[in-house]
Amino acid sequence: MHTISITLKDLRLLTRDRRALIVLLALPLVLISVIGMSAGNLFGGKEVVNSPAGIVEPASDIDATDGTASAGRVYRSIVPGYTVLFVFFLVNIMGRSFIQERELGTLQRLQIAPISTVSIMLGKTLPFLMVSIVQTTLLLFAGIFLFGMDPGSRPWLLAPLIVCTSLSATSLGLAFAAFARTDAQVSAWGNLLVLTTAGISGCLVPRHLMPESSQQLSLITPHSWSLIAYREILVADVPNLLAVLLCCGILLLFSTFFCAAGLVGFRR
Amino acid sequence: MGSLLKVTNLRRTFGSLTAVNGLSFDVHAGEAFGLLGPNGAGKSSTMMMLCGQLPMTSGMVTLDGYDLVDDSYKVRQLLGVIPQDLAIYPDLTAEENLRFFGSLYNLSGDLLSRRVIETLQQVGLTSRRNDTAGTFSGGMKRRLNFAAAVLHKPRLLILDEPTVGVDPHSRTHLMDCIRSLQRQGTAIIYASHYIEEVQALCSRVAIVDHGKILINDSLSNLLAKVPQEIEIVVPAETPPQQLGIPFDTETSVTDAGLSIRLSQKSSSENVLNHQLAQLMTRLSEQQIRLLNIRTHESSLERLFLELTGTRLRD
Repeated sequence: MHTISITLKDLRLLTRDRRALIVLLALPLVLISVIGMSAGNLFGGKEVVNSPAGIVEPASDIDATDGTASAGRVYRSIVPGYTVLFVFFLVNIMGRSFIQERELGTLQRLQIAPISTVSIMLGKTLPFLMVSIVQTTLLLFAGIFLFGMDPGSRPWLLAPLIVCTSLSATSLGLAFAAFARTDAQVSAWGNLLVLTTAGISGCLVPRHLMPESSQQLSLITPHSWSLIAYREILVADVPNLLAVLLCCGILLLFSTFFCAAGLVGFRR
Repeated sequence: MGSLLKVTNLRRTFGSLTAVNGLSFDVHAGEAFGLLGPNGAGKSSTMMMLCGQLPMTSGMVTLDGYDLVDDSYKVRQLLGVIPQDLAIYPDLTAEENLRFFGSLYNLSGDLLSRRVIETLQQVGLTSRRNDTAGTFSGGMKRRLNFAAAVLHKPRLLILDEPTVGVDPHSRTHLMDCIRSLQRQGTAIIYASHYIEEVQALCSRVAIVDHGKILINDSLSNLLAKVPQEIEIVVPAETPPQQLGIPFDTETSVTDAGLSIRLSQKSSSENVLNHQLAQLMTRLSEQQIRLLNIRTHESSLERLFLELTGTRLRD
């Protein structure tokens, strides 16, 4: 019950912060549109890729007579990449939320109250998990209905992937918040963490365009496993269910690890 | 009447520094207990240990029979804390703040609604219940801060400098709220640098320095240790023997002149009046000019400065 109280309180505060909502919802859409229009053909070209999940993408025909890729192909590379990027931007916002709780003195009140540390952590994480799921769903819908992205033959597989990606992002945010002590640390280290992991994982440049060694390196990030699963669902004629489940399982493992790190950090 | 709060040999060390060194005291239900001490005395560390925010190095604390360490949940349910810094959400309304904090103490439904209404009324914020706390004045924020701590009717209320930066009206209101809680049986621990507040509110006071209690007694007994004094100032060149004052009378030469302090060493006011009358007669006979005369009432501040010294603390 305490967890729910904290969750509802933070949801109320989050929905009243219009700037945060714009960053979370509107900005990704704008970025996807701009990137798609300006550099889409770079991402929509012929590709063959091997991945640990066993995805081999067949070479696809170029649709237009002038050799450019279709909008659907362009955005099925861009939309997942930037969606995952912005999901992990929550790390910064979560870190800021915990710092603010400390600065306001209300964290002290929470710790004095008869509630457990786990309740506080869960209560403050759940709102961001919900926002992340809504954000990802909206961006994918935008990708499908606004940008013509093909959702694949089994779009329902996107649901567990969205949840697992959001879980790994919010648990990383929790771990980060447990160790960041100041606004400056959140800004500096948070941005470094988000952009570095986005860069090496394939969010900014699709994995299939990266060299083999970079693709292997990217596997240390949860983003990469999410992108592999997105690719399987959106590109394969018949998505490999086991491959998608494997990626979701690994995302959950990342979540567990980050949650444990967060708990250690908060108890310190 | 048994003690509601018992603190026994409380110790806290930070490496080689002993911030709290074997503090022992108890507080009864309905009693206001003052905790005075200069900066660095160990007051804040003591308060944080009582709140469960700082682990004890050693010692024992029980509240209403529940051990602070073994029954932490139960103790926190009975405890209310008004921290030195504000601890409210500026982007939530007064009512939203109280509803949230009340829910943390398992208040819900009609009971929570009733308590929110009562507490807003108690602190005089009913008309501002739907305004965000960020729009409040400093005094109003302090009142909301107070309300958040007493909403769940704690058995023990710990206040750490609750009136810092508060306007006189809000301060008076808060003091009245505290007295009202006392009458309802809540035990109060009041830590403040405003000694006059402690003197006005508390029936027992402990003075702490260097992590130890220097003195812990009822207010009346403490004030008896610093009796009323009358200070008479005459020209500096006046020989004290010309005044016919007892040899143990305190005299000192100041910028204003020769200062003579007559102290009420017995419980009878007549002794002091007699001494004063004798001295005035002497001054008149010797045609010694009286430059100034003033009284120094018994005060906790005088005792505090005598015990802790007047050296500036970090």
